[in-house]
Amino acid sequence: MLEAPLRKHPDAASRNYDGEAFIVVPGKGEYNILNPIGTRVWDLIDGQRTVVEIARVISDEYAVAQEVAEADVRSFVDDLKKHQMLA
Amino acid sequence: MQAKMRNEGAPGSDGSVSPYTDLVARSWNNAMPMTALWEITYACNHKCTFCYNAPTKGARELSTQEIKDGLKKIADLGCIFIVFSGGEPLTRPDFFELAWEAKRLGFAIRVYTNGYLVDEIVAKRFKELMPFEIEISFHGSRPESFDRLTGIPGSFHRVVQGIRNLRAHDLKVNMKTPITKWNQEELRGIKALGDELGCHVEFDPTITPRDDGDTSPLALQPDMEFLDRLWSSEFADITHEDAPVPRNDEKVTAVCGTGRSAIALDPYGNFYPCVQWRRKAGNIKDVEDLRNFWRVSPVLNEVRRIAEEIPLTTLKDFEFGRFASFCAGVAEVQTGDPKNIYPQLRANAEVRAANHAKFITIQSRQSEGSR
Repeated sequence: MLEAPLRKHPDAASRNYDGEAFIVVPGKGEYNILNPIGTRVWDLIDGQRTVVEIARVISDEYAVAQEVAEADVRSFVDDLKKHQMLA
Repeated sequence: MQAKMRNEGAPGSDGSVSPYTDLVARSWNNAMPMTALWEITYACNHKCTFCYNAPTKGARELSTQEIKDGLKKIADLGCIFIVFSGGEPLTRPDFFELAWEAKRLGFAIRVYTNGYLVDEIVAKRFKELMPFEIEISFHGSRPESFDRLTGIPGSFHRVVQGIRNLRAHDLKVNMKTPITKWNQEELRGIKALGDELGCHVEFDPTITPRDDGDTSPLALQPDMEFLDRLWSSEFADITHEDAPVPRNDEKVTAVCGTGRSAIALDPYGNFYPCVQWRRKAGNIKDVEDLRNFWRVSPVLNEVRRIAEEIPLTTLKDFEFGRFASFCAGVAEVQTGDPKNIYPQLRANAEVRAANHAKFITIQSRQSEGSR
């Protein structure tokens, strides 16, 4: 089964400060701060790329194996979903 | 090397600061603006005698499009929070159009309102918008005191219903109470009502002059006897501290985030270092590149310099300085000098210091008794 592209939650507001994404989720009243790699993943979530496609970019940019990048991105995306930051 | 998220909560168990606190500190220290407060109108349906607004006679408030253009510039500056304030922002017929534009630009939205116009339809529109939080001015636990402070008969019941309408949609609502002589004995009642409504309640013990320097609102300040009680253990559940704690100034770069973490704008587009310090830095309509203006503005740089000097001069020389929540804007409008101690500051700092001393004495007696 094909994976769906990832989309940010429409209520999540975000800005980058000092290279880290600061994300506010209104419904939850939460603040979240991503580390630089998390920020890169967040920036790549554009409603068009899937986990695999995002992991491919991370694998290239950070010189890590595709399977390592994919596992990392998948786990991170689970965190984002848990905190209602994805649609 | 892993993608990670730090979720804001309590400070780390190892005693480290929380990620958000650290971010705010960086915002202050590096003049990295996160919040813009915009008074989008001075029109208001309440007549609070202690209101700090000072509208300019004959001046034209910005149009819908002018505010939208300004929001884009503020988004480009890097602010994540936009606060719609007033006056009463909901009196603008285009309020939701502006709010949706802010949402489109990626802002987290806060709304400062008196709640009077929040009927079921407006509450539903808020639910669709999903602001980060709505802050409602709340003036008493009894209709008599509330309506007396707003100058509008029936306002207590309308505002309480407004809050209920918002809470029915599970929206985050904070109640904020400026403490005055007329409501100082109702803090517990207000807190109880807030708990019943599912709202966080905050109390502000400092009444400020109007933005034009008129000090008439100060006549409603809470009295000293009450302030002494407020900062004692009697109100620990309300002030969130067993006793006042002296501030550690060692790591403080500036006395506050004025001209650093936030900017404020009035309904005419004039912008200021913060909502309290009304030194006009420019007008949003005239500034094309707000990022550059933020760096080079002589007014903002002067304000930043003064804010850095205050902990090293005014507060260091003031015997209760470590217990003072200093506001350079109030100091300037009230005394003519942003570095002067002003009466409300002295009163609060003095009673906070005294209550801290009492608490330490009781603690040491208890510790001796337990030996």
